[in-house]
Amino acid sequence: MRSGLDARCVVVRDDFVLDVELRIAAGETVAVLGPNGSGKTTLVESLAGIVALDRGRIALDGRVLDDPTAGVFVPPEARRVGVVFQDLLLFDHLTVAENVAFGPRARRRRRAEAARLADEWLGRLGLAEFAERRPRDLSGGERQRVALARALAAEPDLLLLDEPLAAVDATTRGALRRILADHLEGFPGPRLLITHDPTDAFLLADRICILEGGSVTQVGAADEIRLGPRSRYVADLVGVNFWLGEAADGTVVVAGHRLSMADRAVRGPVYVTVHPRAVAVYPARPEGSPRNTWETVVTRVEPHGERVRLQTGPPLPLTVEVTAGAVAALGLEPGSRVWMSVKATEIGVEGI
Amino acid sequence: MTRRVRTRLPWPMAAAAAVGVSLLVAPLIGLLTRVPWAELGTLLTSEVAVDALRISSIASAAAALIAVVVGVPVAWVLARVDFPGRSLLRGLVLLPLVLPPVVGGAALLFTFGRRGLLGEPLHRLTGIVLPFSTGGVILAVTFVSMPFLIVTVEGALRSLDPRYEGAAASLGAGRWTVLRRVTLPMIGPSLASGLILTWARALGEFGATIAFAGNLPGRTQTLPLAIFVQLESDRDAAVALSVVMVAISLAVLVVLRDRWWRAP
Repeated sequence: MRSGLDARCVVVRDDFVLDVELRIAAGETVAVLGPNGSGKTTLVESLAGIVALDRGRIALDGRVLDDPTAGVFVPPEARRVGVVFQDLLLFDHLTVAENVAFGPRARRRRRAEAARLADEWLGRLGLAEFAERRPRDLSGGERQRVALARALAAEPDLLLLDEPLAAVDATTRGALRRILADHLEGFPGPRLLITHDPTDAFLLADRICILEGGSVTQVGAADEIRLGPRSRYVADLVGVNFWLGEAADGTVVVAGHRLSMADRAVRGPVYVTVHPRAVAVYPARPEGSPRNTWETVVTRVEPHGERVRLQTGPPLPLTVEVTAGAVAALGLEPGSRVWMSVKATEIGVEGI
Repeated sequence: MTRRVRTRLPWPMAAAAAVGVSLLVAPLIGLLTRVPWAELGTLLTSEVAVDALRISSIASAAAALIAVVVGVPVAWVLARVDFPGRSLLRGLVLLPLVLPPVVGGAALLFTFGRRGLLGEPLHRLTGIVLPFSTGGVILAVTFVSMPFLIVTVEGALRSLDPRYEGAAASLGAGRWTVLRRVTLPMIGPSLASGLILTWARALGEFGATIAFAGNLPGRTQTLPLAIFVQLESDRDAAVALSVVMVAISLAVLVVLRDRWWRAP
């Protein structure tokens, strides 16, 4: 029965509580995206059986792996949960082939059959030539592939990838991400990707969970997360201006600043987003001025190719994206005084 | 090539170092000048020498074997199991490292002697008498030498990242497989050097052996005991046996060179 992963993981530490509900169907990839210290590693450890749950329940394809209330705890070696660890944890006292054959051997496959399986996986991941080498003699990208091959060769029912691309240098990351995408596609069970890199999450996952301070703050497809961030962390990740605000009668108050918005119906606490490209910058007060207009000062200028990101100061600090031409024409530099303008229709408001 | 300014040694330091070096090296030279090279073969094949070599080989090998079989588990418990009194237990099992060996021998006698705490029931139930037997030699040298293995292996287990064992478990390996295929191989170098240290210490053991097992040629007389006796009766034989021990010790140092003897 392939019903996938159905888990509620509660792990209580002295100063931290992880409380996450997670459902992943067979053949689905879910990314858990969160900052350092959000509980990502604890989540991996509880699913892998390295850490026991304090409350909750983990079931994989209908098999209960951990349920403190029922007194069930399946040890890691009996879970069939494959893990690609953040720092890989390859066995340097074994060859690459022996590393990959470790899972099949541990699951009591005959030596010859385990070696054959290892060869198959090494071939699939383009590692055949490294079979007799030690992992420490390989490059970061190659080692990463060995770790993936080792996890997959053990034929797990659930695949956990903890920051699989964090240890790889930028030049090989793209290629490795494609390899990862291919092999995730070929893995029939549920897959969980832990990452702090939104690019990995957006490109590899069907669904994204945002984990902050031990709880899930938002779940959705990549586009939902990208277009409607619900926390400062996500907004910073996707580069959108984000505030918590209070809405009433077509205006919303954010950080003590009053903005007009198009939606007159929404009231109460809201998430407010403004896309950096939706902000217009003028050297003087704009004519026939739109209602959301204020004067401020440029605090930072960061070129990104044809586009330039500006940071502006009070009363409402914003990230703004303009063309390099506009920066030149307006002579913008840190300290320049400018007028900002945002159309009411560009103020994104969503009730909490 | 960069040229380094040579360290200039202050002369009092150089003088003190010279004294230190001669203190350690001169006796070896003194020993080597007395070696009767021509008769070495005859001296080392005498009955006393052959017996002592045999007993020392058996006792030191047995001590090394026992240390692996029971010392590694002790190291594992000390490194991995958190329980009250762990520090006390560690202190107790490592005590023989600093205890005068002759005190250890006396303690063994009071415990495993025919009237001893454990020796008396042992004799009554099985007829085995440990003191003044080769078994007693093995017990004495194991008592003195096993802590070397424990201290080395415990250190290695502590510095081993336990997550490697977690990774092995996640691949389906049970505890025994993890121990056999991950933990022990990963601490292999430390285990080997602990084993060599233990064996070398067992080979050189004197005080505990003579106090507990006595000095019976052919039964409990080890190489160090034979050397001690021969110093009184046959100096050439004592020197010949001493040369054997120097050679063995040098061999141990060469084997452990990579761990201790490598210049920074």
